[in-house]
Amino acid sequence: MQSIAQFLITGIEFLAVWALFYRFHSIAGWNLAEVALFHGWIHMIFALSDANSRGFDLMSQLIKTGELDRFLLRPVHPLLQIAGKEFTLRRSGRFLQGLMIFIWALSQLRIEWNIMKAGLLLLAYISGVALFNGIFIMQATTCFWTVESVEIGNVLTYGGVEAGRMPISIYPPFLRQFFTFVVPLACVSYYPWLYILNKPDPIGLPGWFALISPLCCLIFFFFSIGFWEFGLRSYTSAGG
Amino acid sequence: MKVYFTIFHAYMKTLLQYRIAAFAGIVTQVFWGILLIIIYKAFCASSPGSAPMSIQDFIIYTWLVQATFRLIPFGIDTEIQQMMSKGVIGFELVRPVSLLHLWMARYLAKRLAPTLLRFFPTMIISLLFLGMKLPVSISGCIGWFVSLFLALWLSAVISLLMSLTLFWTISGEGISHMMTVLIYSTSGQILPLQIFPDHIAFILRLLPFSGMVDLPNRYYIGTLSLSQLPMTVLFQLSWIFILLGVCQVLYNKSTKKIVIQGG
Repeated sequence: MQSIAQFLITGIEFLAVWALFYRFHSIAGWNLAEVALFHGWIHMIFALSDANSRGFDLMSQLIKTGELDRFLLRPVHPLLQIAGKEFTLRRSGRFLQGLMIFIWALSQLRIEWNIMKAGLLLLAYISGVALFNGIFIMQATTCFWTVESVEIGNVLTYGGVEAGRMPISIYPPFLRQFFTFVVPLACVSYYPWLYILNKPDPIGLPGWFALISPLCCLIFFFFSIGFWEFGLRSYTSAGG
Repeated sequence: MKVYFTIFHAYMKTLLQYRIAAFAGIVTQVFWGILLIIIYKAFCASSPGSAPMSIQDFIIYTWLVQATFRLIPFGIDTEIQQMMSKGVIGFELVRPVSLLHLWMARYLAKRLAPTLLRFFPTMIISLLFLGMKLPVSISGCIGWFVSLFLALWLSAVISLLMSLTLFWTISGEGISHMMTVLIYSTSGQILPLQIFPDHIAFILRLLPFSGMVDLPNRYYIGTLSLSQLPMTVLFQLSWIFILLGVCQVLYNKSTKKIVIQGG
């Protein structure tokens, strides 16, 4: 029941996209099927990341109850333990919804697949999950200093999903650069798909950028782990 | 009646404490609004003649939605859900006040207080920096205010209805989530109803949910004029009374069959 609810809640946003395309037919040179591709893709990525990041959501609880100390004493890396705390299956609702829209979009578009594109796609997916996991880790790290979780991080996670549903070429330069180089959302969705759909980049970044763009996310991920280690160093437990 | 007003007042005082959560909420809503407006502008740029709503109107509508975001029922009332699963609901039922009236006072406060905390900062920020405008006219302002007042009551009744369904399902989340989906998609919360295809918008405007969001907003931007106020007030009041009736029926049925598991 919860999965169905998740399916619907995350899916109704697509209703809005459909209605807008009903009126306008295209946005910045992209049609409904292509935007549906973004929508389904980003939801599938986020669903997997969300499913294994429940532990990071609960970070403030872990600190307050002292459970984090138990994690720190074990021989397994604490990040792995927190990630492994819970795998929330109800996120499958979001994943299924994304998958369905994704499959529909693929059926509408005629894409010429090859090994390079398939490989890029896989890399993009893994990088995307790494990206969102990185954001969750950073959000959890702030709890070392603030104890209560900082809700504003949701602007990057859920806000990131919202922003990633549309081609980033429509956003003003500041936002575009932010989502390409600071929180590389565009590198898991927009640039790989530009390459796969053989579309030219209106912003003018070189073609090969699309191929290495998912690596930006891996850099981000390692940065977030570094941030965690930094936070851990200033952590003094309250016992418990 | 004085009892319920006191309860309402107490709930309001408690809820108005949650200022930090409100701040986070405002930041999120502002970000959302900015994103939505960029998206709509991009759509308009690609086929300028097809806009069902001017960019200016869309901007105002969007900021109204963001500013009154907490007015709309969302998700389940976890407090009531806890009461149900722990059996504490029994205490609520034996109180010397009517449960329905009690919960109405509760929901009026629960919808009003978070909205008040977020409304003024969001309006001020959007008026100063983000393209928001004041109501199109004095009569538009009056229409907006009246329909917003009734929207609060409508929202409280719908919240009451959603909580009453918890009497049947222990986990309760399923029905409430479904209703949240229904409410969000049909009220104008995710997209102004005007943008939907005309025949769909027509049907959606018959449902009670549009009375919470789409209706007050249309007064504000001037799509509706004050002469239509009697009709729309009738619309909102009718749905309020119909839904109150449904609540009463649900309540009667449930209290006959309720089984408390101890606690």
